[in-house]
Amino acid sequence: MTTQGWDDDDAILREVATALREVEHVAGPVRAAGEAAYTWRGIDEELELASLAYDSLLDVGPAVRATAVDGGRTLLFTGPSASVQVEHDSGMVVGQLIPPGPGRLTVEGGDGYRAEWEVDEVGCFSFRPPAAEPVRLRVRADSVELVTDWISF
Amino acid sequence: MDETFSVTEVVAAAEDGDEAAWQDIVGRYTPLVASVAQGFRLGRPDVDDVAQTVWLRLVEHLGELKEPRALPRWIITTTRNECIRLFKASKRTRSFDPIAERSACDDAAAGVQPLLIGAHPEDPDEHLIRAARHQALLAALAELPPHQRDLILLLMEDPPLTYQTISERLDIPIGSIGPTRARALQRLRECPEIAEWGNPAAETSTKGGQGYDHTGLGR
Repeated sequence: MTTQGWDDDDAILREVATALREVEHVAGPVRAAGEAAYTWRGIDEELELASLAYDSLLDVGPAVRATAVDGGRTLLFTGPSASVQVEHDSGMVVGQLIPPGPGRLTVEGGDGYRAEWEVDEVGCFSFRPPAAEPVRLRVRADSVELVTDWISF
Repeated sequence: MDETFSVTEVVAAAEDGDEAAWQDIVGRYTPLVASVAQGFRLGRPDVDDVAQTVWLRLVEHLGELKEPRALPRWIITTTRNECIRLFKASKRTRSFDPIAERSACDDAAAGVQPLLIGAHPEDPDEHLIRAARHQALLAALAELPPHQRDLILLLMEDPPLTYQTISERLDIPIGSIGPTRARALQRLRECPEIAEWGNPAAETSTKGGQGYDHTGLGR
């Protein structure tokens, strides 16, 4: 019962074959994306990693869901000593660095996009993200140096 | 033959800067990423988008995946979340096939996490069970030692390869194919993803200590 036909050698092999065959047509590009991803490793070893801690698009609470779809999208990245909150709406991203402080923001795309923006004295910044390209935010400010998780807007 | 193979060691090597180890991880887990994305019936550009984000993020999180089941869990959760994110983000700008959207997005949004919380064989939704079974099998396949995994992949070829051809490709005696196949399948069944299938009690008992993230952000 628990293995549901997986006790039989031929049956389990057939099912593995089916599972593999069903993804065959997308396996090539998925693998290619993976092979290219490693080149981004280690570049930011000296920077703090701010991990994605909240994404309003993924908030599945029934009450929040509707607003997440209708309104802007809110994201929170947190690291050991700092965090970044951003809002994405109408093609623009507006964000704030906490603790606040002036500095530079580099928006880095997985396909090579790169742009620099100013972070003002209260830690605020805004930019228009590239379409169809995951990005990460690299912040060098008075108080902190961090890089966020990769995210697609 | 390396019977003590462990994906955890490959993850540690990749974290340490061994690019061959990273490429090994990508090869092993590509079918799993593709299978989860496939469940959402995404088109090609969307699958590319999801896969790129998942892999890029994984590169930065290798150091956190030190426990054997952490990697497949992380991959499934992160891929699922990226698919949901894509659905919802696109929903604001274009229309969708409502059936595809309901079955994929809402199932996922409702917290259906087949491998993570153990889909029950009694579950009436057959395509979800089927997808969960496939993901469990692909996760288990990814954990096999190289010689066993290579053999299984060659046995999957269509049209089937002769034992003579397999023997030449893997550089092993024909007589060892049968026993290696048997050991590979045994090991596949012993993988937690398969061994604990339909046994939510076993899942629950291990889940608490592994930092499963209910917000589903796959960290």
